[in-house]
Amino acid sequence: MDSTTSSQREREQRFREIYDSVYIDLLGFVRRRVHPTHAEDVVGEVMLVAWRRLDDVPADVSAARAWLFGVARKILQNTRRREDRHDAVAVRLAEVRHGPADAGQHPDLVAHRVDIAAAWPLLSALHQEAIALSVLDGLTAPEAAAVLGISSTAFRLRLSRARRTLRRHVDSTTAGDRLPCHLASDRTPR
Amino acid sequence: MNKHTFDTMTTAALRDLDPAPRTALTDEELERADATFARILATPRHDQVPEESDRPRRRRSRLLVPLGLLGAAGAAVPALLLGGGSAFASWTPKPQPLTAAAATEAATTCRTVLEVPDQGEPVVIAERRGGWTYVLIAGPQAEGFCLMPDDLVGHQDPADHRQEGFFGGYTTDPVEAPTPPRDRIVETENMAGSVPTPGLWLFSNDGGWFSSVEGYVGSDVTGVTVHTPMGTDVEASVASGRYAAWWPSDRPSSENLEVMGAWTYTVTFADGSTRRVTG
Repeated sequence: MDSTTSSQREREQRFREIYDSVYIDLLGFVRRRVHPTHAEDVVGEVMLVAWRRLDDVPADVSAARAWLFGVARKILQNTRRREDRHDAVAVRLAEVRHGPADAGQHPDLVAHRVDIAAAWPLLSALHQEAIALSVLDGLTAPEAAAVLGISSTAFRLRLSRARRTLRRHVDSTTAGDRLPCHLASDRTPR
Repeated sequence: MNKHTFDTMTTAALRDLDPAPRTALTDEELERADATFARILATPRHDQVPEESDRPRRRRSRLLVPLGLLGAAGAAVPALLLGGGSAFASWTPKPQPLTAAAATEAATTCRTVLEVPDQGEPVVIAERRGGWTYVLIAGPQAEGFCLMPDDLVGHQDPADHRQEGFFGGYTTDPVEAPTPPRDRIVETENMAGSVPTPGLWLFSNDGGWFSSVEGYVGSDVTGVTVHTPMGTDVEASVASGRYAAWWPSDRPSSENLEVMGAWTYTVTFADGSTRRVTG
């Protein structure tokens, strides 16, 4: 075996490790941000970038995951650039479903979920993104900061503002009658 | 509610509302993940742009409109490096030949959907790439091909196919068969097309675009590989002196020039040796 073949095999081995350890998390990250039918294509494109820039992917798995999330975010930004130039990538939430699963839960938590679902679309993409990176994508502040290309301090500040804004929206949309099926944005602010 | 309680409950609520909770991949997802992995490894490590002298003159002779193609899309189509939209997520660079029975069934479905009579044209090429079946039927008087999802093979109602994604063409005036030199190939057809893939958000109306090539091989040629402009190497099916291949692509447009770029070929001979040719 010559050294080229060996090095090629090592590259494939390393790429396989990254692919296997990050794929599910990356798919989740992308699914929160695009229509689910397109998520696997975006993941494929991110992984192709990782393959071509293998030497740039951090060795640590957790850091590699954040690196790949950052690539995914750039790809998502680029795909919508022609339509609007939001710097942040909006995050969607699942529909609120009422079902047997609610039965065992505290009524306040069930109600709060409805409130959050209603208030979420009122958040800016910037704030949605900060909260999602922390709560849903499970990144530490330094990792989330790396995805966004900002400092950890700037991320913590943004996250804190985002949480405060979310709370304000929840407070303002629950001050009156609870109309869970009504779009929060249709209501008159109180 | 104090701030701490609010934040705790919000975290719990958001996790309940997570559109992508962490779960193991389904068998289908795993299969697609493996197919994507194989496709990525099939791309060259460095962009191998052929020398100018190596570039063939492209004859993009026709841009076929598939049955059931959605109207002109308003949304921007992402220049996904792997191309083709989600429709072709399972596509593989290496084709899997169909059994004789499966080939006959695919040809029957193809004729039915194209609404052309069966004049006994033989099935020349019948292959599967991931979840897609491609069949080429060719006789002296007529020639046709179809690209369709596997699960629609055997469905005889043309309406099913118009809704679900199907691409086909038929001509009663086929190109006269060329006689390539023994160690060469002659490309007789190349096209770009799309099958409808409904999208709801971001990539709305993003049809599954693909490119395809067909041609004739010289008598010494046993294998044909297409080097696509997007960097993927695609193994063509070769049978009965013909070859055919298709690959996921992107909507051809001025913003997507690489899709319109040239492809080149490598042919393989019986002794395993290869030669780069232009087709």
